[in-house]
Amino acid sequence: MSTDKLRVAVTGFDGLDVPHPGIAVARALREGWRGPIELHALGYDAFMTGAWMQGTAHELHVLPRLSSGEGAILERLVGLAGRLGLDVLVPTLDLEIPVMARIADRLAAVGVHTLLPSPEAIYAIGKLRLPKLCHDHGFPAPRTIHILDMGDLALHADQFGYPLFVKGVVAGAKRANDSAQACAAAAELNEKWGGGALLQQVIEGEEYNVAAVVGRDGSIRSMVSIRKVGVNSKGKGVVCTVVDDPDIARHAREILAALNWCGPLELEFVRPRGAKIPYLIEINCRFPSWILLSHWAGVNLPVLCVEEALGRRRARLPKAKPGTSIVRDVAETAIPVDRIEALARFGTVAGTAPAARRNRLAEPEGVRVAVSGVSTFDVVNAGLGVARALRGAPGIGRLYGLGYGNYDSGLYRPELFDTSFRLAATDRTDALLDRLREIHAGTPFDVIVPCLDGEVPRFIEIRAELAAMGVRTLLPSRTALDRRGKDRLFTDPAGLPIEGFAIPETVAARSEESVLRAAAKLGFPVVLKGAVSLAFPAASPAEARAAWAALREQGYGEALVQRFVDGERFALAAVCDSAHETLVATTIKKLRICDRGSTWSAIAVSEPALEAGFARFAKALRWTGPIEGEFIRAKVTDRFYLIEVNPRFTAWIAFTAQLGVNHPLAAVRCALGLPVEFAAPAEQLVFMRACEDAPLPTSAFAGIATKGVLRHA
Amino acid sequence: MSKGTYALNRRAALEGDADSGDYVLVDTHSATLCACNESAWRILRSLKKGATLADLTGLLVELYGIDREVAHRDALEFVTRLSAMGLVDEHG
Repeated sequence: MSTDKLRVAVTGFDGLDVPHPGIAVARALREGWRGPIELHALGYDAFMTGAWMQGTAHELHVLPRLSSGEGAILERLVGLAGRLGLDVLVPTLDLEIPVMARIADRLAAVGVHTLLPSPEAIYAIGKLRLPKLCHDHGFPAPRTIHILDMGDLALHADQFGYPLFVKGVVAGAKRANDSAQACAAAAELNEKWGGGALLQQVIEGEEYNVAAVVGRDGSIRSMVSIRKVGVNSKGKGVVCTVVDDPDIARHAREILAALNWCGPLELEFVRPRGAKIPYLIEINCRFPSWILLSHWAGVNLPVLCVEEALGRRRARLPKAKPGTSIVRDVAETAIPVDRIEALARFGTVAGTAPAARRNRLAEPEGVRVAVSGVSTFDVVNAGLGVARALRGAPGIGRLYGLGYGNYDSGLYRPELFDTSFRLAATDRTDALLDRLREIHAGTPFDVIVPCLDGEVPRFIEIRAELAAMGVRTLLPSRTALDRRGKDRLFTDPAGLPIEGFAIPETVAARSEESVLRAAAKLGFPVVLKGAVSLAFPAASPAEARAAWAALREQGYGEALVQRFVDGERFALAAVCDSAHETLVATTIKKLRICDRGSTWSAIAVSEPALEAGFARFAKALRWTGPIEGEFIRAKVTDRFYLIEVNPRFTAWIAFTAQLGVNHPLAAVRCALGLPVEFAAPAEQLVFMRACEDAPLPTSAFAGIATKGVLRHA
Repeated sequence: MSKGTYALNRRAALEGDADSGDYVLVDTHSATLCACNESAWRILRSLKKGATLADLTGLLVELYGIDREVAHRDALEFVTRLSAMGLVDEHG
């Protein structure tokens, strides 16, 4: 073990729900480097949320945008190297690797080591060249064509056949089942990345990835192969398991031998059922975002990469342990706004200190709370935020996580829950009640907080039975719940006080023809919404058709066609008591939103008129329990428009605890008939969320899958 | 498939937590996880060392007190399934 402190700079801490690999690389280095290490997070703006997480980086630094040219990047890195004494740089973003490869020698001259391929090697594996590379070497690969002119896309897509993947020339992929979907996907990806779009044959099968580190001499230092065991609706592997498949490994070695590579790299494969050799889908010139798995599997590839960059080589390397798994979860924190402004203005700021170990069970005799909605599989469920807010809060005892799927990430987080239980994945209310009775008989709880839209009606239905078991809830009536539904709220707001905000003009449509008629009446752009979830913007009749098709595909027979309001996004979370009075309310301005509209960064703001208006609105709805209003403040008029009312806590709700107005605690106390009082928040904080992989112990998975229970404490 | 010794091959890995009683058979090629109950776990551990059908039959009789003929049939089915998954080899 070296006693000299190693200073490593890593890039790639953004990406929100599709996390950049730097978050995992930094954590793998922190957890796996044998000796003192100082990590520096590099990014392109102050909102690289992953870098702000506790204990991630010693300092954060902003680099000039890549578009400012490699001279500007080099100048900044040389400046940082001189001031910080950087030893190694590990870039992790596709677009910056070629730039860093071109300046690697000049960085080496100032003592910054890298392990990067040549610009020529990077060029050869690019998405546009990959089909030729595969053809030349006989590697199985999907049929792929590059379309430059978006006007030709529908023609080529029709000739290609459906389904197909539409891919951006840099990143992003969408599956399309017809030409409307293909054109919409291509337009979006071309808008984002430029350079046209790729059409690719869909290969059905299991997805395998291989990450490798190749030494300067071209030898493979180590490889880790995984299968994407859990793939979400975006096609992202959110549960990954290490495999030891000789056919995959052999094929990966053949490909690597053809690449003249040096440095980290990821091969993406799909293997059709029954086939031995997988199809090569993509090569990425960087670590994958799941690379922390390599640390838990016993072969820490980021550590190997840094060792190789420094010219240190271990004689023997272990093999990755097959069966090791991770599940993608999230971490959240709150940062004083001054620090974010300082990073934006001065380009450098100290990182966030590691979290102090909290007493996991602050009050053994405290209130026992069961919380549902603990998954991050597709979207971040609010139950995770509720647990974070309640953990260690005054008067709160044991916390129990309730999930519906074996891959619900919160089930495997001992820092959030004392015990996790799996509920029956069924819409049957009697099955839900039976399971809750069974859980309660062995592990009694005092309060239950349902956090998913779809389960709120069922919990309303069994509220009396829960009360008879001694379990308190804080829920609205079925009438109130139905009244705030999008299908009624937006098309029939009469009788509700709409003060301090407005409701965008909305028309319900039940066919493509009526969607187009509604859009023509409202004027483009519009938003097409499903009654429960999903919202698709449409700027033209073609996009409106594609949006309607997408809603139909998800089982919706009606679209709410709504005037698109351009402006900043806000959310107002509140908790109402049984007299329908608002106990607490917190308004945030959203600073970072992912493609799905979820909030990944936000700042608390004071909007007393909006909060008073929403309190009157909730009172008129006769609301009880947590509620969230989502708003857009119109760019031109500054008027707030209500675009959604959620009948539950919002996923960012842990932020309220950090602001000093702990909404979940207020709800629990109110459910128990206890008074709710909070002091005014002290400082201006910014909410930050980033993806964080958690180990998924095989036996823990077995416990959830077979017995429906996992005891952490 | 009746007289030889059967043994789990390198493709099969056993993971268990005796405290919680949670046990898993891992297919290391495909990352397929098969959660096991206590009985399956004991049979798999026997197969890890290598066992004949008679050994497995005896184990099932001991575990469940069932008829030897039924136990033999169950043991054979268990080994046949593992064999179809490519996780067990027959020796001798």
